[in-house]
Amino acid sequence: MRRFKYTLAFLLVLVLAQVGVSVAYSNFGGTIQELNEKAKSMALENQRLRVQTAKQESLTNVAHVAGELGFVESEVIYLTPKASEAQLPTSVNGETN
Amino acid sequence: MEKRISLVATLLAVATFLLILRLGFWQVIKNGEFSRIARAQYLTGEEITAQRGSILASDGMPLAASQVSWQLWADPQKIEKSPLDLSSTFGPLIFREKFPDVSEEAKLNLLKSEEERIKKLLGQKEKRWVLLSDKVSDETLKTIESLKLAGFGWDKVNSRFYPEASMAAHLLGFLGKNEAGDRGYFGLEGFYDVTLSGKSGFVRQEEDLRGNPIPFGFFSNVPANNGLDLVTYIDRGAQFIVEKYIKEGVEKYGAKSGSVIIMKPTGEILAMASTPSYDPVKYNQAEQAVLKNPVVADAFEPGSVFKILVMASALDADVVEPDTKCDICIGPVQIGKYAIRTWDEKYHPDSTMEEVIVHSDNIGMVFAANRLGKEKMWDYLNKFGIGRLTDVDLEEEASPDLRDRDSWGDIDLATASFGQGVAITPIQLIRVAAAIANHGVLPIPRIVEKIQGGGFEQKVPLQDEGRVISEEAAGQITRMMIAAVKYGESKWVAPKGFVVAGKTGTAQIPIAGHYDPNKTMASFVGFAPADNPKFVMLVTLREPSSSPWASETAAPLWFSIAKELFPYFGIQPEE
Repeated sequence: MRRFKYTLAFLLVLVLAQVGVSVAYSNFGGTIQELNEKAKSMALENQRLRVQTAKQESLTNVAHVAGELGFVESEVIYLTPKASEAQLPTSVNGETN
Repeated sequence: MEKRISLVATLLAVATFLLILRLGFWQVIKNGEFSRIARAQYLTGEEITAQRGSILASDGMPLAASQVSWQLWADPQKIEKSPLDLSSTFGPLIFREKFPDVSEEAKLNLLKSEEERIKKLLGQKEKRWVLLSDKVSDETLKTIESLKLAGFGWDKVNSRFYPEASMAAHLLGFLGKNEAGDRGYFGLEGFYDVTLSGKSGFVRQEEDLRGNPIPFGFFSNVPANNGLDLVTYIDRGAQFIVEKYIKEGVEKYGAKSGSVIIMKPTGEILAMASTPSYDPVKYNQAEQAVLKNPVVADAFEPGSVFKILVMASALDADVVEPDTKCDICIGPVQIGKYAIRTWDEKYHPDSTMEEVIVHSDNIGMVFAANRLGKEKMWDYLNKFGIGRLTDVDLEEEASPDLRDRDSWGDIDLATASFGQGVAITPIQLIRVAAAIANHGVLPIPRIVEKIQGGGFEQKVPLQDEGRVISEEAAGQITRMMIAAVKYGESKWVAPKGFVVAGKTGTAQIPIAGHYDPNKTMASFVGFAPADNPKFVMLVTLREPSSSPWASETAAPLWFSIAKELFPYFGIQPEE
């Protein structure tokens, strides 16, 4: 009789455990869904930021902002003629004393 | 009593049997059907859209990329406010997306018509779905969401985004639609459509009543393979410069259209721009004729720029030397019923071949071509890739045919020597100049350097079609082109201190069977620094009206761009 009671109690514990695990699992589905949604929205946010960065860094935008800030194109560019090797300082030629 | 009991037992047995039969019917015979219905209830599937790959400039910045936007719709039966109120709320929001750059004068009318359109759509009470906008941005969607209005919804759509707006539009192409969905058309989008597209995936899983996934239930996931990115040789800075100058140049010289290509002698295309152009986002608002890239799709008679090819061929074939004297350069040459003249009616007896190039002398070119002969001329044109595709990685490339070798007459040889009667595309022409700058080896123009994405990386090899002229001949024609810049018609625009090899070309445009002297194709092709070229550039202007001559239109434009490119590419003056 005692053995029967123990078996019954054990089975009851198993049933309760299964119910508990099932409840936990059913909630876990919600958590998975939440995480999926979060991952999707973060991926979307990443893409949004990449687009914003590209917009800001585009030369078209840089030129526009430069114009607004009052930058003007240089009319004169000073170019230095090619220096021959003989004219270069020795350190540039790699020679040491 | 016993009889009753056995009757009840029999009835129960029969009932049980019938029940088993019925259960068997549902469980066994109808099993397939019910399983399908059940699966449809708890098994859900969702397509995972593959993201289209980006097209990147050489510095890694995107020229075209994918972005998420939203399709905005409404259910007119569920809206709670009046269509008039809602149109004044949605009108400005959608208008801002549709016409970002509209002028203040046009704004009022367009906004009014947009509000009218929305009011009309929302007033269609018999409908359950009307499309308000096929593309609104995240920012606009957030604003709409915050209004918390009933009867409105939105769906995610992938669209193309161009950070530099219409810059390099012809080169990039655009993303359109066909029956199968998105498809790239023209340019890189068209050529590399399969590579950029990727492959959509699919996820199937069991879901509970609330739509949440069932842990340890059925789950099948075929991941999406996103499209691969294209890393191009396009230099954003150089592209920005040529875009600006070609627009200004076409306006300044009153041309109908114009193009610029910059490439390295080994074939890497650094910049390519044409005007008129279009906005790839609004490709459906552009004229059909503007969508194709004229650099690879439009043919023209090149005129005098073609002389560099013919002279290089004659030098390579050893039929002339740079100091060979032209003994027919005393006046016009008669070939059959045609009289060939110089462009300025000036004749230079005993000109050397270098002087022929400097003066852009048609008679001198006829002399060189006659020495070369029809057969060899045809062979060299073929070797230089005239009459066939260059294999540049742009979808719409086309090539006019080179007439059969046997059909060439004396007049064809003569006119081809100064670039008339032969049609080529700008990309074919710059390739000829690139072959000279590349010491005689004909490159295959290439825009994409490598394909990458998802841990994959593959370099697109640079290729060439082998040697077309000797290194010596390439050096000789280069020196002639240097002299042409220094002493030729365009010497007034050449910058001091830089050694540039170049040649002008003014070709009359054939219209209805004859050449119109007032309608010309002006071009200038050249490379710098001449001894160790960093870039080869071609400028073409169609029908410039300020002057028909290339020396007064295409050449100054070429040198204006070159002056910007010298410091940009770190090219120092020689003197």
